[in-house]
Amino acid sequence: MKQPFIELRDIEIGYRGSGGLPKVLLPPISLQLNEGEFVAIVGPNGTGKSTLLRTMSALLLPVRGEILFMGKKLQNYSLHERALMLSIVLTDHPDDLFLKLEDVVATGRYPYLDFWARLTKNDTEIIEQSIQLCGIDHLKGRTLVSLSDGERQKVMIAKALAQDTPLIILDEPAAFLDYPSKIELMQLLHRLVNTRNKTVLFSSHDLDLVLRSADKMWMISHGKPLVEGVPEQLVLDGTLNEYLDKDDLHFDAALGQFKMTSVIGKLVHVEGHSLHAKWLKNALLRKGFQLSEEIRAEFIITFAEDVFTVEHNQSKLKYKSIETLLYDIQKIK
Amino acid sequence: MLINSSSWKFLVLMVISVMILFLLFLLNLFWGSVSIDFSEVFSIIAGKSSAVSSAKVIIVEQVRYPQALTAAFSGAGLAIAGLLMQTLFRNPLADPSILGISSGASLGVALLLLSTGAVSGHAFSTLGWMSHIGIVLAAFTGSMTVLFFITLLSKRLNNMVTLLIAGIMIAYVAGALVGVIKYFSHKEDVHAFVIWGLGSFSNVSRSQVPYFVAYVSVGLIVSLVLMKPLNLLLLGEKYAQNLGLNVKMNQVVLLVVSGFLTAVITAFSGPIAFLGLAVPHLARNIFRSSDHKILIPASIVTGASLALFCNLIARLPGFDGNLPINSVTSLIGAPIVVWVILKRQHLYTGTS
Repeated sequence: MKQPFIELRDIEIGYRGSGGLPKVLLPPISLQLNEGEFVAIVGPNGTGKSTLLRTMSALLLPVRGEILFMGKKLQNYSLHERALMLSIVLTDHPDDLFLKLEDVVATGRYPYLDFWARLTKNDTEIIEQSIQLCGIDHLKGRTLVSLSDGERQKVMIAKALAQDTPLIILDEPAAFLDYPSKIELMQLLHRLVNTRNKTVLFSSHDLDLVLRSADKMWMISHGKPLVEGVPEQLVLDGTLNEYLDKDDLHFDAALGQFKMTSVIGKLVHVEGHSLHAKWLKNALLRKGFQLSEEIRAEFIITFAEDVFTVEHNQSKLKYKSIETLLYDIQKIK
Repeated sequence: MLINSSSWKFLVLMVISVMILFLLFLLNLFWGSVSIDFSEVFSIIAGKSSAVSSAKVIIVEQVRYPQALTAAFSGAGLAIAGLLMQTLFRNPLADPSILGISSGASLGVALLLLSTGAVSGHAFSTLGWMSHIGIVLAAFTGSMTVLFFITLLSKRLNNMVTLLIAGIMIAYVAGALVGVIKYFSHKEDVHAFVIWGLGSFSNVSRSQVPYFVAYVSVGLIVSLVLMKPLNLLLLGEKYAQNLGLNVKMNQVVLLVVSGFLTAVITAFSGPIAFLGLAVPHLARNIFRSSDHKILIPASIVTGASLALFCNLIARLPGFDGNLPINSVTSLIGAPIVVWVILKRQHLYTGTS
């Protein structure tokens, strides 16, 4: 039997307070992580995502249970051995004023360096490659504090790459990024998994992003046991909505989008599947209307010749813009 | 240190800095209330002192030379102590005197003066050479005690400002205790303590200089060995641990080294303000780096130079004797710190 890369055996994560009993955040977790997997830990804020990641990075001891890396307990590896096995990217960044991008990436090589931290030619090559792979060569010479959040995140990932570990653990890597940067970051991580055979484990509270990018999800929620699975599978069997833990939001499997739960509840039928129909539906859902497939709905809207026609109580109204249409049908009691 | 051009820049800056250091050292030998010609000083240095009057030989050899060495090593040591603490606490305002560590040294010295006076009935200052070893040990114990409390607090408080306030409070408490102790002490000892508290690089006599230089050198040499851990700690404790560093052990080593340097220098030269705080910032700004491979030698040279410069100011012709060095370093150091704080804002937004 092939030995799993990483195995969590009945671990309970949490914090040991001063004196009293440890605060356990989740029911015991048992699962495996295989080489080359791209896994996202998903869950609302404050459920224990960071704690789980810190425990797996050996920065925190599990309250109970054990973590095995290639069959050996994580705690039994030396600090140096662990530095060669897993690298981390955290939410807080170094803030020294004169710390340059290259200096930060170079620290990834420190576990390999001699007492005086002299970089060999091989080290400088690896640092250079890591910087290139993360697409930040144009920023060389800049100080870390002068970079944007997204750029800084890439520098820390380049540092993790330079560390050359099979496993990379990232805590909320997309948290402070704008949408294009988030997508770019996910593409970068994907590249590492596919071309460098890295195993990547990251946490995120951004379900939308995770559904678009992760190969596997570990879902947690307040007090519920961790469930793992391929994102699409978790959508289909309803686990995703069960773990969403929000009354006014649900994942619409058919649309592949998150939707606010209807508050007005009036039924609207929009005819056709044109582009205009699609975006009108989007607007109606946003305003809290319920979409209906039946033509007996309270409102029936058709789109033809650049005009929306609203049928309501035998009256017909025509609109050129979605804005005025929404304004009017919201007023109708 | 990655790119060759930056190594070159470092070398050139370092050579210039060392030349300035030597110049300031020589000026310290020339400059003073008694005017001595350049040629005379050079012949004394060269060992051909027979051509110069014996009074001048004594002034250079017994007064100015030990004083210049004390100033240079005090400046270098305090700069390193400040640098280590700034990296350790990841706080640009960390410094031996601001966190109350030199106040701890004062309290230790004051306690020693009182207890020996009260127990033996003799003024401590009559004990001769023994008193110096005693003062060093007392200052060391005092500063290490404060350092210990600061470390404990730093573990509990993640907020830098709170820790800083705690350090200032510790300094006040130590100051109050020193006041109480002075009240009960011998007049001679109080006087000795007040003089010690003004700070001076001339306390160390010719015969004591080798010991002082040796103690400080130990601290400086150990700091050179700490370059790798210091660079890792710059990233924060978690990153440092993930990169294989035994964080707890290295933090203790850093505290002990900076505490030792502060204690030794405070014991010999008295509490000296602002050098430990200002010099690392000066070094960072001159060498434009956060790499400790650069910052440690840079801080040593810059610290020694700044202390020698302050010593020159303290001995400006026209003043009879020496101004209290503590005042001079504050007058020069405080504006540097203000300048650095103002500059920080530009660095956050710009590239250069």
